[in-house]
Amino acid sequence: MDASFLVAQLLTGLASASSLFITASGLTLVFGVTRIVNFAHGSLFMLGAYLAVTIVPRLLDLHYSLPMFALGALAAALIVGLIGVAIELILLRRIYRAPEIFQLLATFGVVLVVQDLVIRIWGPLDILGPRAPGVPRSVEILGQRISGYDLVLIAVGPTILGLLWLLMRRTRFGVLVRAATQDREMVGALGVDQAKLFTATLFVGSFLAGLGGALQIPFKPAQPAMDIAIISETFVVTVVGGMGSIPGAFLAAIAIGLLQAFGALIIPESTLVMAFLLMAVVLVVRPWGFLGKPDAHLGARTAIEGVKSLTPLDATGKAVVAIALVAGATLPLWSDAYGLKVAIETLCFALAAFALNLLIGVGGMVSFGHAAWFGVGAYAAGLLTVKLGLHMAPALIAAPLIAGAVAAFIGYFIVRLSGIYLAMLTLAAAQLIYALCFQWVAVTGGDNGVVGVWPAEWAAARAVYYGLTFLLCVAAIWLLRRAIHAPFGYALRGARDSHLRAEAVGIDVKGQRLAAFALAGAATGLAGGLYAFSKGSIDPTLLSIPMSIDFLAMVLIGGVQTLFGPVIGAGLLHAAKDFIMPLTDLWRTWLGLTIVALVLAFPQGVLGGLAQWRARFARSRKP
Amino acid sequence: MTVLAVEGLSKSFDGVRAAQNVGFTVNAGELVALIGPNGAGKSTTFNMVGGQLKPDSGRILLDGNDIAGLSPRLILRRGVGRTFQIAQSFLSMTVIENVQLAIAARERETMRMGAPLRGLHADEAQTLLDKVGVADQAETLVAHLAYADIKRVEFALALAARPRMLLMDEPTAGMAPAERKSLMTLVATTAKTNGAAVLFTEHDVASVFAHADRVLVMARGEIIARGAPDEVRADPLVREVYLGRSAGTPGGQR
Repeated sequence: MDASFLVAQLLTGLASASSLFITASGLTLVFGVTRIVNFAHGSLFMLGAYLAVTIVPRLLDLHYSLPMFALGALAAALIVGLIGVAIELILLRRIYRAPEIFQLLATFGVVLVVQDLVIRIWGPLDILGPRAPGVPRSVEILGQRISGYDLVLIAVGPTILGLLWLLMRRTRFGVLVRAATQDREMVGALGVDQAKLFTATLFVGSFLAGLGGALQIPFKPAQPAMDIAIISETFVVTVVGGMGSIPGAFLAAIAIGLLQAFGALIIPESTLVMAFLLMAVVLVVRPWGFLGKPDAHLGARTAIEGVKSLTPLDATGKAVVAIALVAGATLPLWSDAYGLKVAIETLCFALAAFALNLLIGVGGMVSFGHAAWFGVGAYAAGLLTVKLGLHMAPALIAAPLIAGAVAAFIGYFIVRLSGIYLAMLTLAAAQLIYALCFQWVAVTGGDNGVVGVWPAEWAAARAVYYGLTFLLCVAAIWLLRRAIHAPFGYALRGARDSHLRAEAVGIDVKGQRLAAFALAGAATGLAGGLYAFSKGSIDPTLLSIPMSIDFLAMVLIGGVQTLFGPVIGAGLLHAAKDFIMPLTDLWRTWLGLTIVALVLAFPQGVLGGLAQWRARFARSRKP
Repeated sequence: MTVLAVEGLSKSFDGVRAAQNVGFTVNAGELVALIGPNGAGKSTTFNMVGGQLKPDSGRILLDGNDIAGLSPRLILRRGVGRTFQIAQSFLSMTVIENVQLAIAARERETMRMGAPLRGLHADEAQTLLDKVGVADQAETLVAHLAYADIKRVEFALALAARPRMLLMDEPTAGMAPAERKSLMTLVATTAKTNGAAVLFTEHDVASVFAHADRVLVMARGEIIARGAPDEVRADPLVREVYLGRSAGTPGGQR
């Protein structure tokens, strides 16, 4: 490995850093002003790429030149900017004061809608963009061939940084943005029209996302999955750089670009893992990122109204539970094989969602990567069976233990944070594990996963396996519920209610939260293990972001304020998915719109809304 | 008998000296008030003793052992109970659950995942609620209580640790005068019977002079006067700090 090769690698790293920075600067700008982590930023990036591959070739037909290429890219970015404005006007404006979990979920709803939209308009196939006219395919530097377009990108990143600097320092808009980033309430109190400021910010932020997407078409095709890929990376950049800091994002993008370029030399499969490892390390050493500042307002809003006072089940509740248990236990007698399959999956999801609400509703920790523990459980069970030839029973014992251990290890870093940072780190941790499973092909089978994860012979019959799942999931939920009613759950809830008071009465808040993470991880791991054996296979979608969102949607649909809400939510979501998915190509649109509608209309979820409605009804009947 | 002895305690924020060379003692059964205008360093001093802030220098001796720089949890374990200026109770729980949880935490039972909290330490919790006068609201959610009652729950939470030393930050803020008096009388009685030392801050000067055995006056990060309430009241320096030079010092027009 000689010096010139390292220089080439350095330039490649800087080019990808530059490209990443353009997109990330938009996200961090929007976050700084609105305090919303816009999941849909990746969708805007994707739209930028698709619009560019549509517009740029037509302009190049008119006149084949670099200015036309640039014009096309700018036009695409401009349209994306306007789409961002539309999103702000229709959705974001209504959720500025909502807890972060709702903001992330609502903007993820937009992600789902845009995914369907893109496939509907441009189809599912990759679309390659044209090369930039006049830019040499490669340039020789120190005897190494460097892509000419990489050099262009290396120049564009700092240019954008400079332009943003001018915008921030030399314009009234910039002054307001900087003021709002420091103290949003104060800017509002001083009589600045916040609505206009936020709309303008969304325009600039979305424009940058669109530009980021448009500028990468010469070397990366536009494709439907690019939104999730870029959003994880931009999340990492914004968090590492310090949320809201544009220069921080620049430094972070360079750090990540270089880390990936040189990391790939040592372990080629490590590129995805590197970024998330960096984020984990930075968040622990400098919880506010490179150039971020501690924000007193942050986290204050995290206090979603979680589980309230616990009471033992009343007569109605006991009757409902009894009926549900009898119906569940006798299901094989009156359901067909398909119904049993759906029931098995629903039970696994119900356990996972119940465990997630232990963290969110009871612990006040909005975990955005819950699929990680589900996936680790599934992979543990699957790999132990297929690769090591273990039987089902020991594999099912190992799944929760391994998932719990991994959750405890990662939880050690996570419980140091709170609010949006905690949510981002859980997301990053889940993506880290996803990346491991995706890239470590030799062990995990990569994208294809592993097949042949079948139950032991005695449990091979669908009805028997259902019985086993029913027994284990109900038992696990019962144990978790017991823990929530025990001093453990109260102490966890106490830490959520008041960190100060919890410490002052002698509760070890971090320890309590860590135990909750391990417990929730183990329970979810069991659910994942059971799920793997029911499917007969494992693959990375089990621990992907959409899976985490499904769990969050279950909790949200059921309501975070009730213990059994998420169980109902799991049933509703899975049944709906099973019923609607075959009927429409637009499943994601429906799910996305449902999530958005739920956030806007029923922030307490179905059970929570029902309870509130019952209370209101009872009050109105009283004389 | 001296329970708390603070020596040479200092703390700066970004070069601003919030507390410098603060020293005082609090004896068993004694109520000591820490007063001073806003920004005098009362809360800083308080939070250092409670462990919420780490002092730059100085010693905080509890029964002779230095607790400076320990975490709030460890300081509680050494026998320091505290209440907060803005009430910090467990709002999603009932009054008795609040106290039961505090007792369970004292007994290091917070990792227990089996038997429900409901039946745990219920008698002891009820006794504490009787003592602070909110027994009839035991099953009410704290979030639904009147503010004065929340302050009483705060007191019960501090007592749950069976503290040798009570730190009370504005224990009666936001209460009506009659309620203030009854709560402070309760604090005084409790301190005398349990032999606990009490350090409290207070804005309401009437409360201070009625209930404190001794008063410490802080201004600009330093203790500028100390003594029995009457001595402190007569101290010209104190008048100057509170009322300004011209009004406070006889012949202040120098």
